[in-house]
Amino acid sequence: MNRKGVSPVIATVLLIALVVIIALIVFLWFRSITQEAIVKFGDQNVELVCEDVKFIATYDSATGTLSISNSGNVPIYSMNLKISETGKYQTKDIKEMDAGWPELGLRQGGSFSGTIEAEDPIQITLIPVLLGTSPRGTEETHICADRHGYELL
Amino acid sequence: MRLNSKKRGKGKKGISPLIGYVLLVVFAVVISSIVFQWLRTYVPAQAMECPDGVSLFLNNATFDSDTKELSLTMTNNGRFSIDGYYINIKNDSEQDLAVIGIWNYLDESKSSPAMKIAGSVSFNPQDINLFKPQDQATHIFNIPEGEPYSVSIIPIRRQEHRERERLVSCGSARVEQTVGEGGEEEPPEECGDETCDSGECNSCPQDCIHTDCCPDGTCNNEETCGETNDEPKCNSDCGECPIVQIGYFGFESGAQGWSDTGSDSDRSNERSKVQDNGIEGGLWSFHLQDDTTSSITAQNFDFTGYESVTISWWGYYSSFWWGLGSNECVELKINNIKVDSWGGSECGNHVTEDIWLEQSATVTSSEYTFDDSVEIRFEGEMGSDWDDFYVDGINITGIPD
Repeated sequence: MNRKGVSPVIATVLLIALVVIIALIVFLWFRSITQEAIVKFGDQNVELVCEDVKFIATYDSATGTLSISNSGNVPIYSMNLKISETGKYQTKDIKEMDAGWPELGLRQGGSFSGTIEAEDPIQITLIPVLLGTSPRGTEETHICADRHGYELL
Repeated sequence: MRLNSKKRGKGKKGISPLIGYVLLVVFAVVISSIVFQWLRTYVPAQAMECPDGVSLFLNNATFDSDTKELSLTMTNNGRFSIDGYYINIKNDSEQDLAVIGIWNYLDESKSSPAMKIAGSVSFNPQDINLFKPQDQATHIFNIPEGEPYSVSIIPIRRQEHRERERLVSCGSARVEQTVGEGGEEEPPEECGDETCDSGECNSCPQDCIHTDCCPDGTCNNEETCGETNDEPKCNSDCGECPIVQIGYFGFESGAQGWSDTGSDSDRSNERSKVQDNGIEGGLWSFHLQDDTTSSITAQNFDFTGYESVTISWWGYYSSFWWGLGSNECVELKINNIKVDSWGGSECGNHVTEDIWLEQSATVTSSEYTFDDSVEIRFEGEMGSDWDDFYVDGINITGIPD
């Protein structure tokens, strides 16, 4: 009956510490399930930069030759190809498909022509991949959303 | 009494309200700064872009196969100064896109002020944007192998962007032109040598185009077109050619009867595909934008006595920001009835943007009323003033009943 229990100050400190720790745990968990804010051109979120990507592309189904010309102001680091073939569907990185793709990508005004292997493709969609900077200062690639894709066939 | 209440903890104050407020404010500031850091990258900034009136005209592109020199004469026919250009060629008419970069083959000693700069050619790197409106320059490129079929040029400007000077590519002002033979004056285009097997006759002058068929009305790859530019003798070669040319419109000498209905339609010198005689080049085309009551150009024709009429034209679709939306189209209408549409993925025909496309549609007297006043109309169904359609070289031919 004469015991004091925890003093109000300690209780308050404990409460705050618990709230801070829980908030930190929730923050770290939430950060792991959301994408990092990769930026390009200083402080532009790369998702917004995807809106400004402009390029022209053609595909010759007889020879399998894919030609791309960057007509905009955003360098295209790589290109993801979504290829729909009869009965199957695959996504490939153009860097892995053709050795001729420039190492640093297509700069402004840059162009590319190369052969891609696809068996009787029904549809080919080109999705730009951009290079940006992560909050940690490292260079990271970002695949633009499907809506920025360019349907070739 | 005091001692008792202290024992029960009732008299203790805990943290003072002041410290509570301070903690609250600190929490709010810390959380808001975290959220700010996260969200600020999502604030849109103005994109690098060229002004609308940038335009470079290729007066002449010739290749001398003996000296391996590609000579380009160009004029700034826009409203803004230009710094330089990206240049690509293609060696084959079968290729769709010019992707061979030749900037590093520039012969600086033979070209009027020009210099190679990292993937581009600059008119004068000592100062910015020195190629002013109406300026003309000739640049020579030494092509080590192959013969260029066509050359594609994208003008560039140096502009201030977010307090830094940057090179801006003017993709919407891209021009492409077929390369002619150099060394001597270009001979008249031979029409008589070409067969009608791959549409090559379309490069012939107007007088020959309507003879791309044989007297029986079908092209069976055996007939020739006729003679040369100077002496078109197509009709006599083909006998009673059943195809009659009703009209051809290159917009070089004016709107040529096509209506200019308001702010969203105009005869434009932004780009051109052909001249009034059908030969590649020229300065003018007809332009539509947006989807308003003035996004229309039309003209009436006399189709009396025709069984079918073919309308063919060069179309250029360009959307400045995000590309044409899926349902942004240009419609061809006969007497206000839609024949077909071209544009985004949901239109009748999905087009590639930013290049000239050869397009056509054929209508018959059984589908439409052919009388002495049949309206042919191009109508824009696009999203905004940023969406543009240019039409050039409208060719209307008919087969009589």
